[in-house]
Amino acid sequence: MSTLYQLLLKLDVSDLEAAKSAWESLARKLETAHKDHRRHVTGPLANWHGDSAKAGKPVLDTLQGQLEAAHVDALLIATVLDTAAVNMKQAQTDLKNAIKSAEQDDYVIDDTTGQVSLPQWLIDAHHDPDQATVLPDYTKAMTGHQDKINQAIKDAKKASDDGEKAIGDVRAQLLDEEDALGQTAVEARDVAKHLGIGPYGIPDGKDVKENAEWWKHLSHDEQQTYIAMYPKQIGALDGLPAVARDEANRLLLDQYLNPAPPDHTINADQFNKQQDGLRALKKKLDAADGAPKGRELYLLKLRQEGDGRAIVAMGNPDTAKNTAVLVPGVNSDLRGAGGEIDRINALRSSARKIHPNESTAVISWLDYDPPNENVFDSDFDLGVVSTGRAKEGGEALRHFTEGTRAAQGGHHSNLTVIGHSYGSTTVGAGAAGGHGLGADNIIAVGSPGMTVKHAGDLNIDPKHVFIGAAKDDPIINNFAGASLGSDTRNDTFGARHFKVDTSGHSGYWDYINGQPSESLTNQGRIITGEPITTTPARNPDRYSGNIPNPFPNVPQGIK
Amino acid sequence: MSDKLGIPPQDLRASAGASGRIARDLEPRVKKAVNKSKDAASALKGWSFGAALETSAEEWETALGAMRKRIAKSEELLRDIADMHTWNDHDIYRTFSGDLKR
Repeated sequence: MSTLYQLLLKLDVSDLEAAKSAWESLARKLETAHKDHRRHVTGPLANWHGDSAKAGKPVLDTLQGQLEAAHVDALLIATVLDTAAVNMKQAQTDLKNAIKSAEQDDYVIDDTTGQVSLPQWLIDAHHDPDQATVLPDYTKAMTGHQDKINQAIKDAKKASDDGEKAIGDVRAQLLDEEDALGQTAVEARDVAKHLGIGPYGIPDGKDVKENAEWWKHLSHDEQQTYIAMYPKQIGALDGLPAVARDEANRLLLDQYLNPAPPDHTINADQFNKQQDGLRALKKKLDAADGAPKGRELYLLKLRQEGDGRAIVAMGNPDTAKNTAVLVPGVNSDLRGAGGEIDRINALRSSARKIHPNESTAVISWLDYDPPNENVFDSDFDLGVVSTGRAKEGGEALRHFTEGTRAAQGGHHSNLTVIGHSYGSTTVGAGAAGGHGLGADNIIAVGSPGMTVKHAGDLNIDPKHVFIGAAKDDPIINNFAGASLGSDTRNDTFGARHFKVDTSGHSGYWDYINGQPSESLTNQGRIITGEPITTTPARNPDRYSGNIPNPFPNVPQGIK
Repeated sequence: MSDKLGIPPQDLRASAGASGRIARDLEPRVKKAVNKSKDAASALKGWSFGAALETSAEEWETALGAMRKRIAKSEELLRDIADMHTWNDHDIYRTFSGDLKR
């Protein structure tokens, strides 16, 4: 039986490298298989009904999850093989260098054990009086050579043992388990722990151009490995391509939906609320799996904490000619994801109706914590009339639009940012800060204020700031011009005012008699750079309160 | 089985076809990955990692093979549902246009 010294000397890692390549190749095939299954197997079966569908659909969904889990696991196996090959090869190089160095100094090394002995000439000179003089130095140096050889063997053994543990973390039996995808998150964590690797190299995310450049210079296999091992970090990086973020966040969504182990940091109610939101989002995403090009959905960010956050694009914002970002207002959380996706669908359809041959992507951006206020409640909280959350969200929005530009690279999409309700306050805060949103147009609908006095304060030509205000919008009528900025309806605000033919606070995307409303069509016109139908700006005189107050519970004095 | 499928049988056949392609396309890559793992395990004989790799390769060969079979079986079932629906529909058509018409 060979000793570790002998094994390390004759080690050939080319088989390990070949195995790593084969598992990467399999991972690429599983990645394609998973996408094909979504688009061509389960996607077209969204409307399949009946008893067979009841039994068949969950089975197909499980198979789809297993394909994704197998994809992640194939990448983890490739990572284990690669790390073991690199570390064992390094140990072998260290060993050979140690041997070479010792032999250059005439030391003798045992072929079996790697034991270092004093040079033969020094042993033969035992009658020479000078031997005693040099012997201590030679003995000391011999110990140094021996230490280097021993260290190399130790490193190789550690690399092998780490590989043994890590390969055991990637369990094939997982493919038979219900929560296979949730388990992949645990596997990735354990593999990283046993191999002593971490999310090194992932940028801190602050510089979106740096994020984009970093990603561009990774190989496809490296990108896939980062997604498999760190979906939360990769999915959140502004500046990365929409396709990559979507892949990472969909994996994260599946892992969130199959928590393993369960999250004990929150109570059952909070957990159920989170899961409801995640399921609503998943349902909407799944329903679009078979969608035609341009209507496909991209999950650009996901967080389950608190009320949950998600950024979802319809159409690819990296390549679309026109891109719009819709920022929702109060009471928005993941459970309402379906409604937000319906709105971006309406906006996209409106733009496409105006320019059928132009690609338009529309993004629902819920990456801030909007106030959760019901103004009809008696326990109304003044938080909703503060710009605090808007400013916090505005900064994140600015970072996101910068990232969208970075991901587009040389392609400059016509970018329109739309804020609804408190979302317009967030858009205003984002636009007013730093160098602005970098948008070509800004739209505010149902706006209680944009944190500024004048459209010219939004780092954009005021001619490209558009206001939509329904006459009977209760939020505008009660809050505009109060604590969230000046009344955007007034001519003193300096924006352009488009015609609105819809009613109330949430009708700006409505259809009237089966046709897109003028409110919606005007937003489509702005998104595609076409002229709008206008309405005159209001006289700056404040709403006088002649209309009965629909919010009797709102404390007096905040109007 | 309910005869209200909600989608045309040809959509089920298209999905079945896609399932079949996925199952077939995976086979050579699975085989190659497993075999290369076994080769690497042999090359690492004497190291702890070698033995673990051998076990891993065998387990993944079984698991991925079983998953492929399940996908192939789903192709079969989707085709069966489409065929049965078409057959039922055709049978009902014949009944209406034949026996009941007379």
